[in-house]
Amino acid sequence: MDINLIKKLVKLVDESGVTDLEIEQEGIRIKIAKKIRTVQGFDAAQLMPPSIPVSYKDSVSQSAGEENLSVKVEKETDVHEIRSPIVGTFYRAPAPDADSYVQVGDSISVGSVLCIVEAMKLMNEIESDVSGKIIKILVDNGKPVEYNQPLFLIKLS
Amino acid sequence: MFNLEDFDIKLDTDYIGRNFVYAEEVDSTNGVLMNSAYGFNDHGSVLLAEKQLKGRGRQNRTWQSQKDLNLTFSILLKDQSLFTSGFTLLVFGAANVVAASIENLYQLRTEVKWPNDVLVNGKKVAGILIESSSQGQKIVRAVVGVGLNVNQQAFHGQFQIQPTSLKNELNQNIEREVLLAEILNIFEEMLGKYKTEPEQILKDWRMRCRMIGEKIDVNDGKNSRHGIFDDVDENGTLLLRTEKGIEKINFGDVSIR
Repeated sequence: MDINLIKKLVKLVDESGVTDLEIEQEGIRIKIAKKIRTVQGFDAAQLMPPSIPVSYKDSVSQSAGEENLSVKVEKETDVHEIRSPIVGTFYRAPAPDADSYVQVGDSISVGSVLCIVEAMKLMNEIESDVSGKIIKILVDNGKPVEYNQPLFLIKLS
Repeated sequence: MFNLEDFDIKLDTDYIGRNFVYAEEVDSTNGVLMNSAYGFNDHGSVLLAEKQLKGRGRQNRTWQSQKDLNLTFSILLKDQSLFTSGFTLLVFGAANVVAASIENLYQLRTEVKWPNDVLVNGKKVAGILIESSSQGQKIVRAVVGVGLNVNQQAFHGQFQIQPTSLKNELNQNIEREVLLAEILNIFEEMLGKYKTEPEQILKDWRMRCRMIGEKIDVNDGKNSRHGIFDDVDENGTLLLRTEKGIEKINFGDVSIR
C-alpha cells in the first residue's frame, strides 16, 4: 500500500470544496469522503463549479507521477493479473494474419492460451493460470513489454 | 541412417540426451516436445527427426531440410531453476554451443548473427528457435530447436542469407552422430555456466559476433531501421545507435549495410 499517495489524496480533498472523491483504476478503488459544514445556508456543493471533480481526477493522477497507480487500498480480490515472464514483444495472435487468441469479455479456463511474448528468437506462449473472464487487455499488439509487466486483468469465476 | 551406437559412445552428459528419441518423420520436433500430451516430460529429453513436415522458424517461416542428411532436433528443458528473468540468454547460449561444436570438430571459423543464427564463411549453417510456455508468469516448459545443415549440398528457394552446409564448406562427409553428441555435451556445460556465471554467455557470444560496431539495417517485417550496432544489453537486446539515440530492438532481421 502506498501511504504517501493516499496522504496526498486526502490532502487534496481536504483543501478543496469536494466532499467525496472516488477513483477506480485497474481493479483498485479508493474512496475519500469528508463532512462539510454548511455556511450561511449555502450547501458546499453549490459553491463548486461543476468542472472541478473532473480536473480533480487529473491533478490526482499527476501528483501520483505515473500512469499506473500502485495503491492497493480496496484491491478487488477477485481480479487476477497475468504478468509477463520475460522482456519482449507482446503478440495477441500466433501469426500476423491470424485471429487473436482472446478478446475482452471472453471466458477462459486454466491452460487457455492468451498471448505470445517474443524476445529475440524465443517465443513464450502464456497460458492462463486461472479461470474467469477477461476484463482488460493492458498492452497493444506488437508493443514491447518489460519483465513482470501486467498484460491482462481477469475477473475470477 | 543415424547410428545410435556411434552417437551413444560419444555422448558424455549427465542428463541432456539421456532420454533420446529418434524419429523418421514428425511435424515439428519443437511442436512434439512442447505438447505434454506426447509424453515427453524428462528434463534434457532430445528428439531427433530425419524429416520435419512442418519445420519452422519465427513468424511462421519454414525450415526445410533434406531427409537423412542433416540434424533437426529439439531439447526439452523442465528444470525450473533455469526459468529466471534472464532466461532469454539461452537464445545466445544455444548459438554459442552450435558454433563451438563446429569449431572443435572441424576447425571452421564460425560467426553468430544476432540473435542466434550460426554462419560459416558468411553463410547460414544453423538456425535456432526456442519456444516456451508459461502458466501465468511461471515458465513451466521450454524447448530449444536446432536446424543444422550437415551433409545437404543443394539449397533451393529464396533465402535472406545464403545457406550452406558443413559438407559444402569442408568438402567431406560429416558424421552426424559425432556432431550431435558434441553439441549435446557442450549444451549441458553451457546450462551449468548459465546458472553460475550468466554474464559469460554474452561475452562468449560477442566474441563470435562480427556485426557489433557495423552499420546495419534491422527489418521487423514492417519497417526498416538503420544505425550502428552498438552492443547488446544484459538481456541480449540489440542496441541500435541512430540519430535519435539508442533504440532497443528485440526482434527483426539484421543485415550489414
